[in-house]
Amino acid sequence: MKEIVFQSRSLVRRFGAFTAVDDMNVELKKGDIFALVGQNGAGKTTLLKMICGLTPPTSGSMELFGYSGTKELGRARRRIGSIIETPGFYPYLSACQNLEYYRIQRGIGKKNCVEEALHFVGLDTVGNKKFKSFSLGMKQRLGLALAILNDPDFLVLDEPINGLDPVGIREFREILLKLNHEKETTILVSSHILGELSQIATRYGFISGGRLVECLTAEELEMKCRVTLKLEVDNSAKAAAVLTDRFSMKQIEILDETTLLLSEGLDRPEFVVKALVESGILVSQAYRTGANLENYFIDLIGGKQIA
Amino acid sequence: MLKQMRADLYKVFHRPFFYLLLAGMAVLAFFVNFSLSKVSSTNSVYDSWMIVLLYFLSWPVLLMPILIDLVSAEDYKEHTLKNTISYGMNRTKLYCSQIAVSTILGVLVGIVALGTYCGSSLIFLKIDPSFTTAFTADFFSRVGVSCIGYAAAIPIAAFFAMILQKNSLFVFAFYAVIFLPQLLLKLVHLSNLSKYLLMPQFSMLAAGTNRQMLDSSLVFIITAIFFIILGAVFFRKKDIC
Repeated sequence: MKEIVFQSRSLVRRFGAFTAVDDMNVELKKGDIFALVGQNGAGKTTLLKMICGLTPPTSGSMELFGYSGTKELGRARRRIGSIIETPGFYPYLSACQNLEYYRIQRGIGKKNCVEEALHFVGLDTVGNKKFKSFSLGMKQRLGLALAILNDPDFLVLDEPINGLDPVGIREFREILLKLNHEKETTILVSSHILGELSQIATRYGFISGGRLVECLTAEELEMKCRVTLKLEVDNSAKAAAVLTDRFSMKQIEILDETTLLLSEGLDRPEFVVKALVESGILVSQAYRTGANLENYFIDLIGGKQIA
Repeated sequence: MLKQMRADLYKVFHRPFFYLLLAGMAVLAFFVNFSLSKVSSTNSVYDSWMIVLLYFLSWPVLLMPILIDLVSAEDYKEHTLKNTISYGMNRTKLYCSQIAVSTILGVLVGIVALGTYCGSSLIFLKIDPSFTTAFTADFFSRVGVSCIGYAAAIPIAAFFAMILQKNSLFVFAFYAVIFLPQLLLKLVHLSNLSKYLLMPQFSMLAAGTNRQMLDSSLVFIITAIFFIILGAVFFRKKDIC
């Protein structure tokens, strides 16, 4: 059984009368790439800030690498790398000097870890450039360089691809996948670029109004989002038999006595309907169903606008 | 805590503004003695050092927000604190280490400023009979006790930098807390309580007895401890963004 990296139980964070995170129960296992999906103000950043110790929970508990309690959590956080909101660095120091500051602070003995981290994120040629002259994309990359400086087991990334150009986004994705595949780094990432999340995530958590409304694996989400041809007929079992016989279809799902879903033959629905009618089956409706991640999320939260 | 202090010193020593501050203090000290050498009534080393005790003893307190800005205030401004806290750094240790680093920087600035002041006075001004070994020892003991006062001002500045975060506001609040209580006590006819405040200690130190120096030290230490504890308590619960 895989190690549980993070676990929260009934985690709540209130700011006065406003509840930012409500009764949050999440579990992340080693090697997960967990995508946190939610609109603005849904509580994503607050949850990530609680994990990183930047804001204390109002109630509930959490465990990091099996540790709980203030002191133990503090120690466990040394195995975390994070980017929370925009990366913050000292503007008058260069990229190298900024990372060197954190290398000294964290007591990392390996002196070349700074060069390695900069190389990893593609900033090795601008290491001596001052942070204040960095573009937003370069700042994000430096943020990631800091996050991986201590060779973390768990990466917490809040909207990490904001400000990156398409090439940067692809590189960023490749870096995350490389870390996940080579070092089995667990990644918790929030983003509103849902298409991007869908390319890396192994699990999804949909959050709305501070609550985790659904938690799915990538396979489960794929199943829910897959495009199918939905048929409403007078006899679904007979219709399935006809389609298997005529088109050698294997991916037929009978939902009830009158409804079935086809994952094949989507490109030529007219032939499917014709074959059924010719076999004496009444077809009352035939239509495509399914959604992409974005539509699925919008349906889930009841049509509210995405961040 | 030592790693945090080392890192903060690394940061400040790579900041050009710190060297400008040192140079500025040295030039100012140098300029005062150079000016005094042009005034016939106060052109002795004794006069120069007495001017420090009588007029300049409380001035360094005003510089403390700059030291705090160099070390911790900019962490709030540049949002760099989250990098430290999210690594699991103990908040109390972090807060105390930043105060310690500001104090170390204060000592460095003090050594440069006082060293330049004393050195330039010996170069530009004449040594008269009043400038005795006893006077020198007394001068340095009073300045030494004042240094405890400057160190006590650091936690006050650190507290307001942490609470208010915005530079202009925290400096304003610091000066308000340093200067206004004396006036307020006067308004409510409780002037006798002023002897427990920070700023009046410096004027008392200029000519006070050894007993007074001891009392002032005690006021400085209590003030420092009070603001360190208050700041650490608030910092432990603070939302970091």
